[in-house]
Amino acid sequence: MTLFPGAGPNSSQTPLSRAPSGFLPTSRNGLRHVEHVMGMPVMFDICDLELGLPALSAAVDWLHWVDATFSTYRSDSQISRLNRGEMTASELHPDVTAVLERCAELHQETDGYFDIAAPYRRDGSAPAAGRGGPGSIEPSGLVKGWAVDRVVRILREAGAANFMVNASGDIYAAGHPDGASAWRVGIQDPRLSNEVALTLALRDAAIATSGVQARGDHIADPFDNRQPMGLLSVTITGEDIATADAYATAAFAMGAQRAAEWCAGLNGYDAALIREDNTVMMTAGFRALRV
Amino acid sequence: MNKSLPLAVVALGAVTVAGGVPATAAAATKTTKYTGAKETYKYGSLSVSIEVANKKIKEISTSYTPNDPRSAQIDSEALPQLYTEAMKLQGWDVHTISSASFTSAAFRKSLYSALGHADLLKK
Repeated sequence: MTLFPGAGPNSSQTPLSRAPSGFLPTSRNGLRHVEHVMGMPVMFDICDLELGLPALSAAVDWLHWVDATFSTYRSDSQISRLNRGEMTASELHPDVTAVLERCAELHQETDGYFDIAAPYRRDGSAPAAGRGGPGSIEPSGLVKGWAVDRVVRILREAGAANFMVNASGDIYAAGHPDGASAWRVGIQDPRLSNEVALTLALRDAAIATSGVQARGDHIADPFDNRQPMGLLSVTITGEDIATADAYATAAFAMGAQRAAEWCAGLNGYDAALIREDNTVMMTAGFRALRV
Repeated sequence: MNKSLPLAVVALGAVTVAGGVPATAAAATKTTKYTGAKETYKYGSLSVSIEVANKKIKEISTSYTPNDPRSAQIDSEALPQLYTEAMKLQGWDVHTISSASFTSAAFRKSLYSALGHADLLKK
């Protein structure tokens, strides 16, 4: 197996002869690649033989461009410059404008619970330190999923139909792996990090999970900056990762009771809520995907 | 090997949980460990370490110092090890895992610091 030539310095590629980490094998002749970008590992598992390395290279280059353009951890990114008042809205790259517009839409769709300005309103919160004052934004919560949704498009346009991309736990599963009719996706048990709580069969669908694994440091209620009550994790599945991720983040922030009501009204997306009382609530569509 | 965890389902379905096989230690390779700056967060402080071989990340791990010593055990179990967690998920009957990612600011700051030490940040 040749090494992937076009990837960045943090790349690694798993030899195809063995499946990584004990998961089910996915293809005999496919391509696996892990790219560390945006502070997370992005795992590619491409089953289609006809897909060339250039498509993967384009996808990887795209992720690094997104990181350079959006990261609040890079002082020269457009978001950092916007937060410092060095750029105006009209000077932003069209993709940046599109992301910020989608963030505003999701703010409405989630009754205000998805909130890219929230990190900068928290007292003593680390994201604000040195990188932005009141009025600053942290759109990373959408950017990650949005970037991977574009990766899905890049791979599809290159002719790939059967592949999976896992960006630090948020996944798009296209088509199916060799020898199976769908991708089997486990949802991590939020109480026991080495256990799987639920397994779904996914085809051409995204899935995202938000939860308490950071001991509450991950998501706070944007309205009162308190820990959401009653939930351990929220998993959302549907058409695109960005929306699923934003919905999962928002639903988690709502707390168990409000999240259950809100998720029941979702259109085109399905939800599972794992609650602190060790119970699971699922929408009918989610239950239908379970293996 | 199957076992059931006390994860009950409310009104909407049933949950069955299959058992996993514990991870085995990977063979030692020539790696260098870089540790990022200690960052404080809500429940204590943490620092992220990466193990690098041939300019590639092999392992990401996190050490935590909770403010409340009594919560040390809880923290060490509850806080994820990001990629490493996925590596430890051995023997499950799945192709991949969906999980909440550790995107806390403290984690990312320390991780980027470690990447800087390892000279792995894109210039």
